[in-house]
Amino acid sequence: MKYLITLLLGLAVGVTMAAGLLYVNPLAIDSGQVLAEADDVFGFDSPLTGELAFASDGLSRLTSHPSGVPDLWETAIVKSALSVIALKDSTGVPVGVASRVSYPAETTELLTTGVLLNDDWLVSLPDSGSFFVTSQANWWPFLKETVIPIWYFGQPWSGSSAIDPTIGPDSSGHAIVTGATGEFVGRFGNATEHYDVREFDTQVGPSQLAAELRVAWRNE
Amino acid sequence: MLKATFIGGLILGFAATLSAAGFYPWVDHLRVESRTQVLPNGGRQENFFIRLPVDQIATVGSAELAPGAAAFPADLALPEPLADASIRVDHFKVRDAMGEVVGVGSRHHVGLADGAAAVWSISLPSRGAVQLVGRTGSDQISSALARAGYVAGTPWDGTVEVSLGDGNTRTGILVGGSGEFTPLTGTFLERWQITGVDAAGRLQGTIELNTTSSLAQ
Repeated sequence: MKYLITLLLGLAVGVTMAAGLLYVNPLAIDSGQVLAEADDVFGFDSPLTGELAFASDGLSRLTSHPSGVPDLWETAIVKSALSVIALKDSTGVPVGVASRVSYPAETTELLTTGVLLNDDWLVSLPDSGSFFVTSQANWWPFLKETVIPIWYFGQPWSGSSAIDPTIGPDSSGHAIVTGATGEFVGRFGNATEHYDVREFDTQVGPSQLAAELRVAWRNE
Repeated sequence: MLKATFIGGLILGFAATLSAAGFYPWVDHLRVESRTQVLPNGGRQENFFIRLPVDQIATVGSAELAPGAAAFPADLALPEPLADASIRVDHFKVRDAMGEVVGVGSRHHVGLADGAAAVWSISLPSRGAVQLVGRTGSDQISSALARAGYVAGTPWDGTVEVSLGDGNTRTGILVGGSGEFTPLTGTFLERWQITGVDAAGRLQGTIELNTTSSLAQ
């Protein structure tokens, strides 16, 4: 009996040590890099306060809104979230609308990559046209440094934090932009997302943030 | 012996946890069997369906670009500088040929100098995203409904079928996407079958997206 208890004790210590190592894991991919030069920079707000509409599974901390938007409860899409976003220019004036469908990437693993999220953007600017952005983001640094300490360890919000989550899928580490209509037809480029979290609600997450979608078009 | 047992347990727990972190499928979206058909010319055909009104998630934008209510939910609105813009965005749950929900679709209908375009991004979490770019008249569906007797603001029953595009070609092109759709190109046909409009302006019926694709050369 004492050997069994000793074995279980050893297992528990081993699991705890490994979990601690994973938490500070130096092998996991770090944050992405923001595009140094961008042709277009679109600002947007927190999904809590600034989005036109949001849909999720209905069970997560961030619920679907406004009232009447149905939850994404079906099994094949239950881990997905839809954000309908007003995009602003540098002066804060809305200039377009974006639809972003986000879902965890099946390449997520906690040893060498992190918590990866796929984002499929469809962006439209009235009179100008539409383009697609295919993005993959690593949210593990933000989860590790901000979300887990506040939500699970009861630590206070330490103040503003900047996040550059985009890591692909382009080999350059940026998102892929594909022009669709209007002045964007036949054009390709890269994009990154940047977030400045300014307030963090202990119940639902980032309540005030300034976010950017930076787009650089390639000359082809 | 106790010491060896403890160290053995520790190593086992440590290794098992790291292995699980690296190899456990932390994200495994339900993969619904793809309902595709291989065409005689070597391409493949896959149809997606949207059942209205149950699959509607959110709609906002110009009422001129599509029939029915300008917004769903009704209090959804674009911010002021965009309120009069020629743009309408729809979001739907997307079903396969067996009627099972397999994805989330975004449709942007934008008025341009040379006509209107309807662009789709359909995200299928287990497979990737498929991107569609179509040309359409700005009021093709509204005109067909009006010809069938629909008057805005009043309930209507009947059947109207509209295939978007110029009538001679399919609605537009499939430009690829992400995941398994990355290497594909093709065409698609967007067909609306409307069987009613309720008092609130919500459409009843089916939107069908008929895609034909093959590997890009």
